[in-house]
Amino acid sequence: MPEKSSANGRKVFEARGLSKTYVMGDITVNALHDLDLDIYEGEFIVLLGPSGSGKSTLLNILGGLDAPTGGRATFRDHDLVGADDAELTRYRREHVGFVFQFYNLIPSLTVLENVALIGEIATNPFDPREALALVELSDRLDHFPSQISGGEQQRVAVARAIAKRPDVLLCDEPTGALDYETGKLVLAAIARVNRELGTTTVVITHNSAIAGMADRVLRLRGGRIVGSDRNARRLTPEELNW
Amino acid sequence: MSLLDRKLYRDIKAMSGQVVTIALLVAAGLAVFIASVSTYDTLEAERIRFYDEGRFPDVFASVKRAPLTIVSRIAEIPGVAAVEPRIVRDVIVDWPSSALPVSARMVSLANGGDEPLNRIHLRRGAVPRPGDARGAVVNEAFAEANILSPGADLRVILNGRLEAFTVDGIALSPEYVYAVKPGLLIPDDRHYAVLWVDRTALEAAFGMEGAFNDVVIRLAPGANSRQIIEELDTLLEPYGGVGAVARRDQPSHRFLDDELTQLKVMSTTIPYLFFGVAAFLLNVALGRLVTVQREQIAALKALGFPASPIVIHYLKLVGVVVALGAALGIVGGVAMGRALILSYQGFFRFPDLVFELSPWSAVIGTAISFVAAALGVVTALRNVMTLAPAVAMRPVAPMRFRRAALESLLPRRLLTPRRMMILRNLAGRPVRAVLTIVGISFAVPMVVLGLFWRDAIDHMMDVQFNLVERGNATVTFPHPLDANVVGDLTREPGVMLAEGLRYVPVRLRAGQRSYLTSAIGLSVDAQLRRPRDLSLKPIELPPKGLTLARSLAESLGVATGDLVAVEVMEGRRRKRDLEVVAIVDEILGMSAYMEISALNQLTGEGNVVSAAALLVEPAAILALGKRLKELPLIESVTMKANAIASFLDKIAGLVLVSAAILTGFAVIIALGVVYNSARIGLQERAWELASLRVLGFTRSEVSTILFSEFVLEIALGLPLGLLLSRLVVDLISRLHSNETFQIPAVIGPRTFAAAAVVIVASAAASAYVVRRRIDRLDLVAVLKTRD
Repeated sequence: MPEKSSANGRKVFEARGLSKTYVMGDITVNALHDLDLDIYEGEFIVLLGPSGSGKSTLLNILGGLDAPTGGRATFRDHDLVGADDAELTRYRREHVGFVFQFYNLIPSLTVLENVALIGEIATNPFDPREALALVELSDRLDHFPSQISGGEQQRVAVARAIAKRPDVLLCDEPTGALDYETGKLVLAAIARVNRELGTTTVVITHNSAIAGMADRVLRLRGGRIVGSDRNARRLTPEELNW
Repeated sequence: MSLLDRKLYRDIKAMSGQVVTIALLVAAGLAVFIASVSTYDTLEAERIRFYDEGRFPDVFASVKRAPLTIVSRIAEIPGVAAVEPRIVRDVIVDWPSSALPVSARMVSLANGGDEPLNRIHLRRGAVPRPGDARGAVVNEAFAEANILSPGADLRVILNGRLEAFTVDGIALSPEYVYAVKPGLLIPDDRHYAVLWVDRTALEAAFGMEGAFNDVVIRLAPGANSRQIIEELDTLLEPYGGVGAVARRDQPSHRFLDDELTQLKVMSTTIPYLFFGVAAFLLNVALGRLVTVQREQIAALKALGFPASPIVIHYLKLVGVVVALGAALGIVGGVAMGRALILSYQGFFRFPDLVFELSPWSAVIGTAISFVAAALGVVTALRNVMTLAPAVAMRPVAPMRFRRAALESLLPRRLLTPRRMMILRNLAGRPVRAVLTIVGISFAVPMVVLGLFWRDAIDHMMDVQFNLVERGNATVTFPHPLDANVVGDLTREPGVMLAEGLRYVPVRLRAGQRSYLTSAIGLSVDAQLRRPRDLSLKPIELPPKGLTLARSLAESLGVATGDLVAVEVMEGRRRKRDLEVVAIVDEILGMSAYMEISALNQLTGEGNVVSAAALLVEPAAILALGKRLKELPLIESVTMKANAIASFLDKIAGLVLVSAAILTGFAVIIALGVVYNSARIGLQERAWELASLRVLGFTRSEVSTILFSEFVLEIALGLPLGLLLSRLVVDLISRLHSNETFQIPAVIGPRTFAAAAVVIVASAAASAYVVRRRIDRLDLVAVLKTRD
């Protein structure tokens, strides 16, 4: 049974009986197995699990990048299962902000331009400078990605993701390629976005230390949710240790 | 199969589109090379064979009337191996099915066709026996154009009297491989014939018993033709000799020779363009392949593979591409060569002109392709092979971007992030961008080369037939007539205007150089024949002195103000030194102009004309043609409409075939360049483009980012290509122009537009194919990998 949220927000994501099977030659991999899930507006969710647990597959389905092989998944009134490529693109464009493990910045654009790029396809974007101020990168506006550190690049990615005022922020191992200190800075930026803008945030990670900063922690194993914990108090990134 | 070979097989399968487009480029270069070399060899071999079989002479001379008794004196000139005196006359054929006059050159036979020189090659029927004055042999081109078979009747106006002949046979002659009516450039087979009759027929009609008016000579090997011509001219002068010429100036031979020279030029220019572009694309494509496989190569090296099998592995890839290209190129070259030979058969009449592949051209062409391609990959390979495995196994350092210089020149509001991505990608790989632009620009002259002939011909037609020859008919007289004849012609029904022209055979000498031509006499106020210069301004003939076409002035090495010795080759054969008063740039010919009364003063023959230009009411032109056929005073008639039609008819097929071939090549180049660049661009930027897709950019927005680069490159490549076309057309027109024929380097706006459309369409087709790959980008995979 899906767990009730204590947050009073409306339901944003709902998944029922979600499954995803990859068939590669003779091998069949069940990446997701009959998974149920509800996420509410404004929540900060950490999806925790070892590699191969299905957390990325789940995030990809929630982000409109992949289709499940069974079950149903909705974002508000958007059906994420039967949608075609154009509908999914529009869904990502209008509602989803992504942060990836490898930042995926456009190497030929400066920090400011990378963020401004999103403004071109959003209806009500932030001023890119404002978005970058939120991640404390106002002094790096004219640098190219190759000229700044990985942590800074990831903060640019966060600024880029929130610049279009998305309804949900999906982060796939945002600190996976970063060291401890810079990882914390990035998490602080994500937490601030969630707190100040109220953006529903889902972070997937295999780093259990990060779980402390979530409203709810969902543990994945073998394509199922095997545990769900609610933190009585969300830790600040500074309080995290790993 | 070794493991590396298996890898090769899979690499080729994975990049099959690139392999095919590059192989097509190699094929195109090879096909042009093989076709032009083999066509040249085929024509040259057949020419040698036919000249040999037909005993084609070395020296040609005309006289007014010389006794046969001097033939032995000609034969005594040292270096002369054989002499053949003949009677040659231009006549009018009464050809009822043709509304327009048919002219013919009638040539005497003394040995039933088996002449010591200019032996005719009988195709059908027989040759009239010596003494048979009623039989005639007709050239094959005329017979085919008029569906004429042995046994048919043929009536010819001989010296004003209608004489009937029977067509006994149909034949070819080395003298008339290119049978063109004097004064025209393109054969008009329907209205121009060569007739061979026994000399008794011409002797009787023209009072030439025991005499001749034309002589051909074969020289002994190593003989000095110049010296012999001089002696011959001295000998023939009392008999009205108009100057002997060497083979080089025999009309059929000259046209054939010029065509062969052009073929040779073609086989040594265009293929290299293709080889160059193919090598460039191979370089880029393989360079990218090697870069992508850099880590694999490094791993192979780290595992202990020596360099040579790795190098051989990649050379095998080149070998596969070139072998595929060579196979297609040889097949295409043979097909093209056959098409060329087929179109030449309309111009050149040989007994046995069959395309033959010159095997060495295929071998050499393939070798050149392979070397060009191998050179292309050497750089890419060397880059990898010199790296230490440990270095090579690390991913390539990311490209460093910076602001493009162009950005500071553009207004701020135009510089959206997407546009900057496009600009910086171009600026970030300047060498590749330049090479792509150059590659695209190479395709443009191909289309232009195929189509500019049309513009050049239109231009020449317009100039020659609307501006220079403004009448619509020209009649020539067998000998100079009193200028009153022009007035008589004016009174013919339908003739609105008639003007006399004077042609005088002259030899022009300046120092050591000399040139045999006709001086053309025109009146200052001539309306129907107005020579023009290259800027198409009418040439005003000064009342005195000589006006020379630039090509003639250059050939004589004279400039305005210089003196030229003018030797009249007929009548009283006067000699005068005349000043060159003007030099004009003309499209056609090596003409020398004089004011008509000044010319007549030079010859001392009073007020005479040799031809008349007529302006005839279009409705009356057919009736006039019929009437002129009956006038004994007229030697030949040329109708402008006719000349234009036959010109277009002859040239249309050749122009169409070459335009189609060259346009096909342009498509191959454009496809090759754009497709390969787009594929490489996509390969390099798949990660970035997929990231944008994940962020919510649509397929078409992402495609636009990639393709805008090509739009820019095409936008830069097209004007460069047009510029290049200008240079190539200028070059080709210079190489293809000869003494008689200046090809104007004119490119019409239609041609430029067609070139642009072909390039853009090819690019769009390439883009469409690559676009489908963009649609299939794996969005999930990019999130898990680092570029």
